[in-house]
Order: sequence, then C-alpha cells, then structure tokens
Amino acid sequence: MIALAGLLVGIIAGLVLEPAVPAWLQPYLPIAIVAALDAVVGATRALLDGVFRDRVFVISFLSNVFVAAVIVWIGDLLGVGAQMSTGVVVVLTMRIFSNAAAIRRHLLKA
Amino acid sequence: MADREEQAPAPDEAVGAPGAGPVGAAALPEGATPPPPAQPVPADPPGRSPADYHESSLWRWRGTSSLVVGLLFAVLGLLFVAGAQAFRGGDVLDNARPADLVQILDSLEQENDRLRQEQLRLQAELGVLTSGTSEQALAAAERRLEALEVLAGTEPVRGPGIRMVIRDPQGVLGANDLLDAVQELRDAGAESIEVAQQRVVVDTWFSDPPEGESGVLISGELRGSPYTVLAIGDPQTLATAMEIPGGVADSVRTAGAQFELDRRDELDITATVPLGTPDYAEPAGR
Repeated sequence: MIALAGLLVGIIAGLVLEPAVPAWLQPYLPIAIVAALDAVVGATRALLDGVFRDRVFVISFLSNVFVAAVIVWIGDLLGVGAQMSTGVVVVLTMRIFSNAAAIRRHLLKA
Repeated sequence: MADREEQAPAPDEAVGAPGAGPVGAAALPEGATPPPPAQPVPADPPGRSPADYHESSLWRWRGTSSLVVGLLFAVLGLLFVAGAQAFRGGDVLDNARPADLVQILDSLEQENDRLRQEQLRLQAELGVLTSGTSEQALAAAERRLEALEVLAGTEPVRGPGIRMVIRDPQGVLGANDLLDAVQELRDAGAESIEVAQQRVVVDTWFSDPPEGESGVLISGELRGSPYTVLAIGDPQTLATAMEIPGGVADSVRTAGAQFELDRRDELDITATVPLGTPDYAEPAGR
C-alpha cells in the first residue's frame, strides 16, 4: 500500500510539475529507471519470500541506480556509452525477469 | 532458461535478511518441495513468514522506514514520467550522445554525397535532352507530324482553296468524272481534297455504283448529286486548272451537269479518316 501510494504520488507529481531533465542527465534516465525497477521487483520477491528488509531495499535501490549510471558514464567517457547502456539494460532486464518468475511462482504457484 | 532463472542467486534483498532461517528457504529453487519437517529447519521468526508480508513497511505504515520506502517509490514514479516525457517531448537528437550524433551526421553526409552525385548525373542528362540538337530534332519531328497528318487526312485542315458544286440531276456523271476532277486538282497542287464529305487520301477509291443505282461509290460509300468538292491549295491555280478548255468544268457541262466554282480565302475541310495500320507493308529502311 505504501509502495503503491508512493508510486502514485510520484507519477502525479511528475505529471503536475513536468520536471525538466537536464540534458547531461538524459542518457542516464532510462538506465536509472530500469535499475530502480530491478530493485523494486527484487524487493517484491523478497517480500513474498518473507525476507524483505526496508534498509536493504533502500540501499539496493540507490546503489543499483548509482552503479548503473556510473557504468554508463564510464562507457560514455570511453566512447562506448551506447553499448554500455545496452549491456546494463540487458543485465538488469534479465534480473527483472528472473525475479518476476519467482514472484509468479509465489502468487500463482506456477 | 527457466532452470537458470530458478538457480539464480536470490536477490540481495533476500540475502540481507538476518536470522538465516528464511534465507535458507528462499535459497531453495522455487517450485521445489519444501524440506520435510523432520529436517532441522529454523522456525520462521514472527512477522517474517511469507504470509505475513502485510506487516512490512512496504505494506503498513511503520514510521520512518515506510516514509523512506514510499519516497523511493515516488522517486521511481517521477523518473518514469520524466523519462517518458523527455523521450516523447524532445527530438531524438536531443537525447543522443555525441558519439551517436557523430555517427548520424556521418551517415547523413554519405547520403548527401550520394544524392549530390545523382543530382549531377540527372542534370547532365537533362542538359543532353534539352540541348540544341535534340530541340531541333523535336521541332523537325513535329513539322513532319503535321505534314503527315495533312497527307493522311487524320486531322481537319484549313486554308485557302476552291469550292466546287457539281449538280447532276440526270445522273449522267460517273466515277471517272470525279476521279478526273481529283487528278486535276492534285496536278494543280491541291494539298487536301474532300469530295462529297469524304476526305480524299492515298487509299481513297472511286467506283460506279451497282446496276440500278445512281451516284458514285467513294471508298465504298454511295454518294449522289450534288457533289461538293473542296480543295485546299492556291485558289488561282486550282480554279484555272478546273476551267481550262477541255478540262473538268468543260467536260462536266458538256455531259449535261451543272458546275459551280468559287474561290475561298479560307476553307475548312472537316472530314477525316482514321489511320489504319498496314497489314503487309512495313518500312524497309529500318
């Protein structure tokens, strides 16, 4: 409930405020979103496993976003930013899928 | 792939849980039967069992931790909206990296070069097509076409000439008389001839009608008196040719028919013939 409420608040705030993303941040935005999604899906799985710890969630959320952004940033410095962000997205998406599979087994027993 | 998913290490959220009991359970591949109760499995701590996730700070208000978690989700929602709007609102180029931009620019320049070369080629072609010689050739072809249209009788023509009316109420004239008139007109330089609403062209023929009918067959069509003959050419020459002693006018009048002739500065020959395709003859010079 808290999570859904927070998500809703964030979406509404985004729609109302229409925050302008600085140009230098724009390449990292999709990466950050996917990283945060990974943390959220992982947290959901942990919740269903009964091992959810809010401290772990907060730290993993922030560090996921940070590490993903740093990897892409380094890639940009090396001139392989596009490939690097593709790699990050692929890896994170795979994690999201595996966690989603675990959640599915919990909820649907299948 | 599914197997690998199942054997993938539990996410770090799960690993971070103290108490070891649920971690052991979570480390099992999902879908596997839980260990039999006989095994020494630590009991779940209260509030940590899978069924009790309603108690977590994700679900129920638990003070600061719920605030922080909720805040993070709000950040996620904000990021979503901002990302979606940045992607939708701006040009793709706005979000592209310098390296990508260089690549795009490069491909555009290559495309530009290719198009410029094509432009040069097409301009050269255009120059050839519109250059003097071919323009002259085109004009010559058009003049030739006009001459052939007049000769073939496919187009109505207009010009100075003469108009003759031959009235033959008694039916004393035959195909020969009309043919003579046409031959005389051609001899005098008539460029276009119409006899009784029939354009006279290269394959026009005259014949006497079958027994019992009066008139003349012109290219298969029966025409009777009066015969109107139109000829375009120099009116003076044509009229003189018609009226020389012993000529067309003389012989028509001698035979007992009436002959009228007047010169016209402008005369319209409106009868045309369709252009047929030759079945046998073909140009040999090709």
